Amino acid sequence: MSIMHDFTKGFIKENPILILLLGMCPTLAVTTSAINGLAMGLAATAVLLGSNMMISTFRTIIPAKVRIPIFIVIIATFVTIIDFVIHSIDYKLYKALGLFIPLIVVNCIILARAEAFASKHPIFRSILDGLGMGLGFSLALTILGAIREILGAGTIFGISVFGVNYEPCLLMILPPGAFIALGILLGAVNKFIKKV
Amino acid sequence: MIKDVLKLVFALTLVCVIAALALVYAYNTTKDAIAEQDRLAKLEAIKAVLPPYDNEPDRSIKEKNGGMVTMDEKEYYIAKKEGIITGVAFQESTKNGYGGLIEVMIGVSPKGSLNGIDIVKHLETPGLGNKIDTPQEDNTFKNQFKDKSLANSKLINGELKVKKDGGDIQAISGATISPRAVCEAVSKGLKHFEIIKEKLFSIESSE
Amino acid sequence: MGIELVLMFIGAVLVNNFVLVRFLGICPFLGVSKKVDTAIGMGMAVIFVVTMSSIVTWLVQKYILVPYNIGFLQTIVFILIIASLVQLVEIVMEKSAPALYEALGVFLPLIATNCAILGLAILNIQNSYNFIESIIFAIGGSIGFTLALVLMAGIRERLALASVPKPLQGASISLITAGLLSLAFMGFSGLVKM
Repeated sequence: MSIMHDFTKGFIKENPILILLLGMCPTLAVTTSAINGLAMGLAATAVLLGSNMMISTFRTIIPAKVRIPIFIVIIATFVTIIDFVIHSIDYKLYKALGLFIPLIVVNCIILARAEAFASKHPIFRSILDGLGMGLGFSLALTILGAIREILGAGTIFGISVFGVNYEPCLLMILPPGAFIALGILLGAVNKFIKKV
Repeated sequence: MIKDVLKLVFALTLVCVIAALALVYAYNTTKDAIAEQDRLAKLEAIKAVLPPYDNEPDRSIKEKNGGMVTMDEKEYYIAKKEGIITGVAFQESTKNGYGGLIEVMIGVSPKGSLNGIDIVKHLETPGLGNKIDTPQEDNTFKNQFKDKSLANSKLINGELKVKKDGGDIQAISGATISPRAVCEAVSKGLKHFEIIKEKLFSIESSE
Repeated sequence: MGIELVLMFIGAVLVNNFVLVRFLGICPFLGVSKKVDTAIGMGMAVIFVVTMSSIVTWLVQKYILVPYNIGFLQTIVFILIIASLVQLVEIVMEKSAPALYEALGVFLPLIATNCAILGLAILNIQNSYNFIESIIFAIGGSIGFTLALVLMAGIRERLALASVPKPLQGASISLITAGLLSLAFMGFSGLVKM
């Protein structure tokens, strides 16, 4: 197993959303446009990177019995900091992501990586893992956001794709569209990547 | 046994204290930027509905160049150009939108005609009712309110109404309930302005 | 006042359904919706914990975080309260109500990572609900969660007998089913004014 593998495995092979099916709530909720998906992904990546780094550094001195509460406190701290940073940079983005920034705390990906990887591996590998998993998460969110935005609004990253005469398929940016788009995306992943 | 428990309690407490300290630091460093972003959000809506001004309508009237008056727990943002009042902005809300609450920022000239409206908050259906709040400059629904007043509009029961209800506001195709609610909020605002304007301007000139 | 609370309750259950419209608690929604029995068990456990936690978090926000001006610690404090509350409920239930523990016990650890709980606690504060409103909202929201979960489990029990194309089996078809269910719930929008 090379060190490179720690980084790249999150992209496709162990993609948190498409393969491991972790962190579904923000995936469905904020992907009404590609940019929202990307922003949410990057916010979660930042938290994942911070928590992986911190937990890996102190992995030998954290008492095993109380490790979960300690992980949660560390994660919650990073989440709150990210929350402040986004709020202080751009209020429109802050409003769009809304409730789902504090909810990064209960995003299963973060705790799962802390428990399964960072608490067992040295710091450098944990950083790569956090970064890779985070980027894989962002990738999946952006793809889903792009699909929904193209079909539901006729734009991608705010740029018109089909011209003014396109009648958007509203369903895609409404809640049912989120479920259906992700369901079909998972089906496609099964067919073409897992080759079921 | 007791010693082990104490050790765990100590570890947990230590982590919580460090976390709290880190957050206090983060909070203090981002506090001002956050306040500034919140202010910008409000200012954007105010700017959208007021004519050009050279004072700062969102700062309290007690400050230099400020234009905000708080009266009966409602904030009024007064725009001035070269010392003369050009418009007043304030929020009005209704609960009769399709998704319930709609908050509208209304800009009124001192004479009582609308300079513009902006939707501050709404829960309308994306793609239908939420067209009341499309960000484009050419939002024909919002723009048609410019220069309308209680005096020059077709009123039904003393209120602005959409065409379907006999008024002269063009609704949005596929959505009547949301524009209807906006009309209600705007009419409420215009009537409210007639009642409070004397008092508002007397407070303003006494500062 | 009374009628407002009723409307709010209906709104939380049907119009803004926690799972199908607000996307909270998707993980248990997909994870434990294979059988109607377990879905009901999970739903009951959630109703119980959500109600308890929104009472505690509301009180903490009002009497500790706000007076001491430390609202910025909200996320961290709430998640700790919820995690310890779940533990506490588990211990108390095991000792005092073994029958109930037998029924709900296995679901309790799963609940701490259910974002519906934290989400609801934060929504209560964001919407500045008063104490009674918070409780009604919590009960409504969690009943909405249970409703969606049980409906989904009912559909999936049938779905298990259907022949689904291979790539779509598993999570994929569940999500598409949830999409159709969500579409049905869209019909409730505009039902009550919130």
